[in-house]
Amino acid sequence: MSTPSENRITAVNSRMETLLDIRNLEVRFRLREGIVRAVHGINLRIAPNRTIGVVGESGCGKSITAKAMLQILPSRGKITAGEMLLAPRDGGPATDLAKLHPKGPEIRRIRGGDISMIFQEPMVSLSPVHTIGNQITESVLLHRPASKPEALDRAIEMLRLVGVPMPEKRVNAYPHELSGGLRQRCMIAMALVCRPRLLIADEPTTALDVTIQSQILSLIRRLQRELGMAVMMITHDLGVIAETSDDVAVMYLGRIVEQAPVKELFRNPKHPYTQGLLDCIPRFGKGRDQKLTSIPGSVPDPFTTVPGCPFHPRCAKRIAGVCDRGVPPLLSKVGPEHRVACVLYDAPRPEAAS
Amino acid sequence: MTKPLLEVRNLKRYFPITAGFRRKVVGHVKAVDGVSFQIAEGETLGLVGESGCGKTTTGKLVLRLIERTEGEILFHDNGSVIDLAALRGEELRRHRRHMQLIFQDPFSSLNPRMTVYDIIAEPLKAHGGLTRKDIQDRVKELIQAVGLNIEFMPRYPHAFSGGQRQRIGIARALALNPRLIVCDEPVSALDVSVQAQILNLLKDLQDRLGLSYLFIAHDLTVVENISATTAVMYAGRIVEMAPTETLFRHPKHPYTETLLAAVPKPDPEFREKEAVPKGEVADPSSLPPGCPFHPRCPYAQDRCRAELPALRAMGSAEHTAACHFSEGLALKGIESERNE
Repeated sequence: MSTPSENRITAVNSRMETLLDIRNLEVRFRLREGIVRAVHGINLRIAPNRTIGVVGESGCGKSITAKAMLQILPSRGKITAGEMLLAPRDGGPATDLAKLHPKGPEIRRIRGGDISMIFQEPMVSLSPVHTIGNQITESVLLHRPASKPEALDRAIEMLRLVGVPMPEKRVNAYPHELSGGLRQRCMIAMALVCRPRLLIADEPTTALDVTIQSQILSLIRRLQRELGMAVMMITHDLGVIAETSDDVAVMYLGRIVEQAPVKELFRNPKHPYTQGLLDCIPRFGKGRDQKLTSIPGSVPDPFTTVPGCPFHPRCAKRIAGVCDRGVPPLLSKVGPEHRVACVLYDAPRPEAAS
Repeated sequence: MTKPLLEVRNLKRYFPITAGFRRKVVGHVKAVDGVSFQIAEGETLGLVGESGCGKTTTGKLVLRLIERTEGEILFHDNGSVIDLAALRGEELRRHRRHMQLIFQDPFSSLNPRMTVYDIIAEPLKAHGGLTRKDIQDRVKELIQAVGLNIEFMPRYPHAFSGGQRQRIGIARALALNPRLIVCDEPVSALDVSVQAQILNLLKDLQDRLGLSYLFIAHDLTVVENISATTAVMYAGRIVEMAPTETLFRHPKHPYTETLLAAVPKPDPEFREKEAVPKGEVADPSSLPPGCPFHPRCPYAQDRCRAELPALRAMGSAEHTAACHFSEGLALKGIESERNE
């Protein structure tokens, strides 16, 4: 099926290439109303040159996971268990991000240097009182041995790379002088100027028009090819996942409920929640008589603890007496690379479930 | 087409650009520049375009939340035709109850200090003539009509999820039995699973109550799902309008093709097969001469840089497009039932 050289490459990839290994990560929030477990023991492996898509409805814990990785959780949130092992740049032992102090020097070196993040709303995430150039060079001066003029050159070069026209002029512009698409490009330039090994993109195109969205997604793809970085794409839009990701993790209420390579997930979704998400996307070409399927109910508020499988109250395929008891673990039941947390696939005859 | 309910003719809204100490007018932003359309009773017109194209301004003009610079807004009311743009005071108030608005952001469009009951009852109280008992009954009826529980009435908006809040907003819009609802991006702030619920609700209500919608959105899949007719706006003008299926399958304006191609397809096999659209969203304060789309248009020729194309019929009278070269272009629309 595949050529010998391809075989060798995949073998090499699977042996050595894990950039960030998240194991059993748990994040809790201590609020007046009680303790909320926002992330409930998730496992993710992020590899260089690959894009992992994390998808789920609002409140599923996808942004909190990303913030935990950079130790920028809101003050009431805490990592209460698990580890996040970041492979070192050159040999040596891995760093456990979960153990680092949120204000310590190590995590500061990593933020922006090894792991960068871009956010949904570029206007809120950029400083309105500093020029674009100032904001980009700040990161260079912090992480790299560079003089101010050198840093400015790098900023201009980076702006050119992300497709900002007239970068020599734009470097002196303030964010309010730019359009939404240009702002998002500047934010990407800021995130990538120190050549991070992992880019976390948290809903990077949700606030943009479809035309600009398509430009930004293709830009991220191109930069990934050129710079070889890993990308973690967080979104609620399965269309964005389909266009960008290699592997996908579907989250629901702080847990990963299904994980698979992108084509496998779209062709062969197994978890009823994933199936529901795919069904409710309005698709082209079906016209007006198409009644959209929707997932009944909504994401429960985080204080209610659902016994058993977190999705069972909304699930059409729930089995009384089974789904409301234990939480199904995420296991490879349907294929070596396809993991799903659902009892439907536990049976001795897995094909009976579809 | 059935009876028209709303007819908009050559609607314009220019915002002045002022400069200097004396606030001298140096130019105009042509936010809406000669827009005409019709909405039939019980039908939906979808209005799509990028941000800044004037679609929201058009919605506000129709409701007279802002004043027009020029044009007519004709409302057909039991045989008589009223130009809403010319009404004032009490008369305007009387006709306005036929038109309501649903907003994009369900978090900022509900007053956090009012209970659900008060929010929905407010239009009923404002337009008067009802006893307290009548109002209570009507609020209960509305809450059930949008799929909420009447136990929610004494609660405040913060206790609800985005989808539930949007339902509250819809109940408020329905309170006065309107004939036309302007839906300004009603589902773009919601999760996909909830988006489907709200779209289904809007369609159900339309079937049951015979409502007409002016449905403003930037998401083309959503518009395809709900609209009978779709109008595409660019830089303050309608550049193409047709029955939805025709427009999506056989677009006649290059901009429509660009928009259709830019929508991410929920299918990884299609990745990177389509060209990435170029250029930025048009800035209505400094439009290029000629066709405003020409700097981004892959088919632009010299004539496009000089001459503004007019909206003209393409084959049938229902399908209009504003492009000099429509007939000569083989534009790509969407294929049907691809995912089945």
